[in-house]
Amino acid sequence: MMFCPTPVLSPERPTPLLSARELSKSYGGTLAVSNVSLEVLPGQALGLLGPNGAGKSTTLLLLAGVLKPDTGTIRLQDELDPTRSSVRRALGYVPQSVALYSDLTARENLTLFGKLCGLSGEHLRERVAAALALGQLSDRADARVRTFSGGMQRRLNLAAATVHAPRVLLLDEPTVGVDPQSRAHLFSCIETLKQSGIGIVYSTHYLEEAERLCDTISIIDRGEVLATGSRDELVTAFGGRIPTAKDKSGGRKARRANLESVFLNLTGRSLRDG
Amino acid sequence: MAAWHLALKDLRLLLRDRIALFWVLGFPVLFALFIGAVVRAGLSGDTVPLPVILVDECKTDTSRRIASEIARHRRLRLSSADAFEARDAVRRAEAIAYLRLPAGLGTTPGIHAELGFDPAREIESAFLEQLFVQALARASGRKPAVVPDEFEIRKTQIAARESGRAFDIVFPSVVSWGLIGCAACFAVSLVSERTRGTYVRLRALPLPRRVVLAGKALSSLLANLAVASILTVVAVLFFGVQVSNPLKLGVALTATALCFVGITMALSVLGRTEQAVAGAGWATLLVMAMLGGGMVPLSLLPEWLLDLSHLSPVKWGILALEGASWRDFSASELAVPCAVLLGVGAVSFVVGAFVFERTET
Repeated sequence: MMFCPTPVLSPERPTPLLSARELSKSYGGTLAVSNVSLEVLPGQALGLLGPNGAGKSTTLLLLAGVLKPDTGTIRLQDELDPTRSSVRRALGYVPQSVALYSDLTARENLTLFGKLCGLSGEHLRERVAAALALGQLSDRADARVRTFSGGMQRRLNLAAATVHAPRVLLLDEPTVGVDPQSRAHLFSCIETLKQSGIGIVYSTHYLEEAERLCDTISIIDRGEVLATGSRDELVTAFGGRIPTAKDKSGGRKARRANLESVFLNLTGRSLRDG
Repeated sequence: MAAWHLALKDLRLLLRDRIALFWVLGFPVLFALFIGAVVRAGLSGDTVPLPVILVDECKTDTSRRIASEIARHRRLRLSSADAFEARDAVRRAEAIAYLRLPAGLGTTPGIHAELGFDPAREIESAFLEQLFVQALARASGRKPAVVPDEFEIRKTQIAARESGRAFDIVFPSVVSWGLIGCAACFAVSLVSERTRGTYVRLRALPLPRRVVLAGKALSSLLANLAVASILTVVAVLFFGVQVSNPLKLGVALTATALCFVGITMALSVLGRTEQAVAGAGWATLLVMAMLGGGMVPLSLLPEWLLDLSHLSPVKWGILALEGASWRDFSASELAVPCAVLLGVGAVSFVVGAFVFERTET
């Protein structure tokens, strides 16, 4: 059980695929990420749960090697230099926006990203076909992305990060703006990927997504990890009892704590307007 | 009423986007002032004196009087040379024309003065012809309106080929405009990668940043070369432009295309959005074209703008292409504009890549 910002490794646990120690990053004078530590185990999903502007996307960009941390270390597949190309091949990154070439077809997009990851020939064709199947887009493989619905684009956005068979997948709010059907499909994709042994970092501010998909949840706010643990561990430690409105007799009742109460207890109830 | 509210909304948005506001209001004012300075200089004669060479093979009192009459004109900068040097200076665009006064002029029938001029400066050559005719008339003691037959001036275009077709002269400018269009387009495509999020996705792939930027530069170079090649083929097939030395033309086209790759990179960091980069990019390229002689003859620019024209890659691109096509530059002569183009391209690319890196996420 982990409630501390810095996870503790126990000898019987599998070796993390990805671990970060005390990452910090500031833009100008603003500290975006402060002493964030986390680890991703094979076949498990770590949720980064936080309000808007909490530092989730910056943390993912640091893990993906797009940003360089001011301090701290990242270890990917036991390598201390995650900027090396051979190491980065183990990583897949799904950006928050639909980062695809809309005038290319789905197959052309996937082929491009596969080639850029060093795939070629029959292996590339197989991986592209697998990625299309994962996104249930095989029948629209040769249609231009601009003709896709929002949900299809989101599915392809995820598939594009899996074409090179990464060991770790970083997902930055992958379900923004999708309909319930596509969301359910994305969840099922992520569960399939977990079952195949891929480690996942899943950034979201939707509590139900974190509850459903993530084995471990880190609650992050103002760039800091406030607590880390399983859903039940967090609820037990930080959930408390939630007072409801007065009942008819004028007394107060309290409903059982849940992840929402944990989230609000840790991050506060004030609006995040910027 | 709804239309009024929509219009007010648009104007409010414009006022709040300072960069867009500059390109909508500020830049046109600056450009108008620029054009005004050019026109005023042209009308008042306050332009840089035209470099002209006098070749006096006659060495008589009359020829000396002619030289004195010409030297008096404030719009000319007169120097002396022999016929070969004068012709070579005009060919290399260092002088716009020469006036040769051959031995026996005015005394021997059939001997005429020769005005050798740069075909790219046709407009100025007409002005010079009038001016020289008047000088010849005054020197011979006639009224300027009356030109003696013996002082008739023969005009000669100084070019590698005597054909002097109009499209030969225009061809370098046409290629420059094609590359300007490519630069504007690819600068926007580079910023689109950022706004769409694909740049971040590419950066998360196992690729060094330099490879991502090299990919963009390569696509820009290939597009530039394709545009330049297509325009060359069209010029040759449909407008009769002759390519006497394809190797030199290829070198000049490649140097110009590489220069515009660097400029594309620099333009792509002039704004954070496609609209901002498109506006800023076209504005910058228009100024470059204007300063480089792609829109108005350089002789119409006042002196302070003419100094600035040396900074315009369009000027060097046009000179390199002219040198490789009809000016018949030697390899060493062609090396100068090509080296400037490559230097400008390299500096622009490095500066653009540096700023791009600083602002990439």
